[in-house]
Amino acid sequence: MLSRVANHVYWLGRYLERAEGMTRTMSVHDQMLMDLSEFERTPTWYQLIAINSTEQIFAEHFDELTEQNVLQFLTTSLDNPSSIASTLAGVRYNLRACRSIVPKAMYELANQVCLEAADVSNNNVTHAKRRNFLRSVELQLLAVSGATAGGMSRNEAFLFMRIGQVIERADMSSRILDVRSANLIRNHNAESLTPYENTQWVAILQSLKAFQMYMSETRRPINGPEVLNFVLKNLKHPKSVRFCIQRLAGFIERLPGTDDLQLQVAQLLSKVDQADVHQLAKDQVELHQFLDSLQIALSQISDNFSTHFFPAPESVQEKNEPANNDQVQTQEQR
Amino acid sequence: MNCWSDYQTDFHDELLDKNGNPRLASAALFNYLNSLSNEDLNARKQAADLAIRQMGITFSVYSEAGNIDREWPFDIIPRIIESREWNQVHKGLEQRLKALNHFINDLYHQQQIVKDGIVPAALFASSQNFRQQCVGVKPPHGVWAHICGSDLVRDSDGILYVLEDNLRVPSGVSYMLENRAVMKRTLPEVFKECTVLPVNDYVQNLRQTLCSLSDSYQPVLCVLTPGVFNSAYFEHAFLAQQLGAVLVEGSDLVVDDDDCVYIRNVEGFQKVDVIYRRVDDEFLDPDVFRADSTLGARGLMRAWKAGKVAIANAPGAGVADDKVVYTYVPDIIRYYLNEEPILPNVPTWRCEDEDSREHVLANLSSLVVKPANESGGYGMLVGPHSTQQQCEEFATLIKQNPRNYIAQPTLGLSTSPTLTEKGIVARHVDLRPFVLQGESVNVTTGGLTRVAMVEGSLVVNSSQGGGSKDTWIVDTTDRADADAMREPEA
Repeated sequence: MLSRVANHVYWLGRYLERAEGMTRTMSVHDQMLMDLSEFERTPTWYQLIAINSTEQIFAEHFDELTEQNVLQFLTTSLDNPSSIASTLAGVRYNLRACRSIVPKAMYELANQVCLEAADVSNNNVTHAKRRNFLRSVELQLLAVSGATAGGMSRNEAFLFMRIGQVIERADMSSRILDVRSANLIRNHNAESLTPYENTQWVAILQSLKAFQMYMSETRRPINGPEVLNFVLKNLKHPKSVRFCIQRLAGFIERLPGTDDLQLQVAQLLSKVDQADVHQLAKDQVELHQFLDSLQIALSQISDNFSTHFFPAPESVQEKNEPANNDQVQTQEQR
Repeated sequence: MNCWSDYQTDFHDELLDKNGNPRLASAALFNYLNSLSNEDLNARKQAADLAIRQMGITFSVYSEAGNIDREWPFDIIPRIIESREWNQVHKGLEQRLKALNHFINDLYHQQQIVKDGIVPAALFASSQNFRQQCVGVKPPHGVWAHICGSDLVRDSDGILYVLEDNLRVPSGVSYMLENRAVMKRTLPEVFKECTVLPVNDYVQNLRQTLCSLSDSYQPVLCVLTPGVFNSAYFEHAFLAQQLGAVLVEGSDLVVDDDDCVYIRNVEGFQKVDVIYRRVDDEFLDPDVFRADSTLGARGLMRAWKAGKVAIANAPGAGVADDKVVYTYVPDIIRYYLNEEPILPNVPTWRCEDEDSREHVLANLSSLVVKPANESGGYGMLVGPHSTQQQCEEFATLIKQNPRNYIAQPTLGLSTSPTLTEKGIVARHVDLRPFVLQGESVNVTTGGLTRVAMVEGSLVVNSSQGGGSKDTWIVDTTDRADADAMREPEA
């Protein structure tokens, strides 16, 4: 596989995962809100902005923190690099460059979800339509995963896509933990959770679509340390941070000349293993710092990975047209 | 209401005879469409549009606001040609490409055809696409143009003429293949009623043609694209995917000191055997052609000349893609193959010949004037549809540079029924079959039918509002035999 295309495949994996994560998170949040009083709804929507650290961009484009503004920012706004519209635009951009190497069915499904999302106007973000939209995008992205898993050879392209996917997923899981746990720990009372707190711990698991598996595996009442332990360290659930990094280690091992990267990933793995969930569940500042350091480590791994495999660092993340666009255009095809 | 009741055409029609009855090969389609209500028809059209959108069949249009991906314009009523007629066309196209390849090879070697006085030396000396750098090169099998897209039109006399041969980087074959895929989803019932010959052997034939250019047992094939912003990027990606080729841009290629071409892979460099390039000659190699080109690779010509890589179409093949050379093709066929041309040319005046020029200048308002080297339908004068002023401008252009212009009579291009907002109406069509030559010669079963969607218009180019149709070569042998047996009784 060409290095240039490998770069696009890697980002395709990341954007697909990010889009899935965003849709899932919003969908779960939407459900959760119905259990909260109206007074509390808007501030909790704001959590979703915090998950992607896009508070500042929001402030630049909106004056008021209304539900409508937040939702527009999260779904259709192209100013927000983490909105569903933006992540799907990222999917489409990278998909175009990978078209000749991904299975046709996968291309068509991914293309379709991008087109549908691009058609959604801001008006459609209102409540009833919103749920259908999120549900539809989520299901279509699951279909994309299925078409990829079922139709693509386990070749280099697949490996690079999976590497993008697990890095993004580990990052997303740690962000969700970070933001969602923030106002829980503030009123921490380990013995008796208020009904609302319970709702929010459940929401963490639901945001990761891990609630059902958590319940069947831990068979314990919902509580902070257990949830943290599950999301950070579980060995079997594909959304757990530990699981993603373990996978990442396995993938990197298969690529030649990656000794340094392998070491970096191993260090991150042991960092997660050594984390004391009881301590972290008690102390919000410590938890935040810990999760922050995870995200930084992941981002360094991603950077080093890109430098190693994509030597001419063309920033495919930015949708820049090439400098020689004029020349490309004079190549009229008959 | 019968969807055909208002159908009218003053031209030869591809599906109906002059009494408005379906031709033998179109009867099944005609009857089926008759059984559909207008709502049904429109629903089918919408389904086809949706399929095209979902399958991501696009082409890009350049505009001031940047490049826009447009959905490929498709008409759901196919254009039908009887297999008996097609067999002849097929032979004619094979004959034509074989002769053209002899001609190109001769031009870059002994130029025997010039010495024998069949074509004038000035012809290629003045051709924009004659490449001095290619003189003496011996590509595999002596073949230069491996992929040719010839445009065919049917005049009022019912005869198919060759309008031009595209030997540089002809595009459209992916749309031919996808049109069939969409058609199968749109009118599946009709396929049961008549024998539509399949088109999808093209990809295997193309692969075989490209592989035949290399000695390697499992050659590494590349499709060289100008990039994702090119108007035909969809096709480049489609063909790479179908061929199992690597889709590369110029910057992915490296020519090493051993004169071999390599691609930059994740695991290092990999040698390339055959490049199916979709980049024009002048951008291929900045060392040899345009020095500012970023679309090709430095040293590519060196590698090609050394025989370390095959390039399809070979650099310099475009010399025969010249509308003045076109006028000599019948002579070229006779000269190299010692055969009579099977497919006729459209009668053409060369403006460089003084007598012809006089005729052209005196009759501009009834002629079509074309520059020798342009493509995509640009820089043309369509006399009957032009103003006095436009004709005068062209008269000046012709006098300034007669070598650069040819003129043809305005043809009564055939029509084919097409679904529009006004119902089923007659629209002008042409046909672009694709011909392959490597070790052997192959022709697509039919080709890409392009249709001018605007009433009365003759412009079929998708960049200028043209549409397309699936092209059916229908095997009517059984029915024709049955008819022949019935005839004595009738």
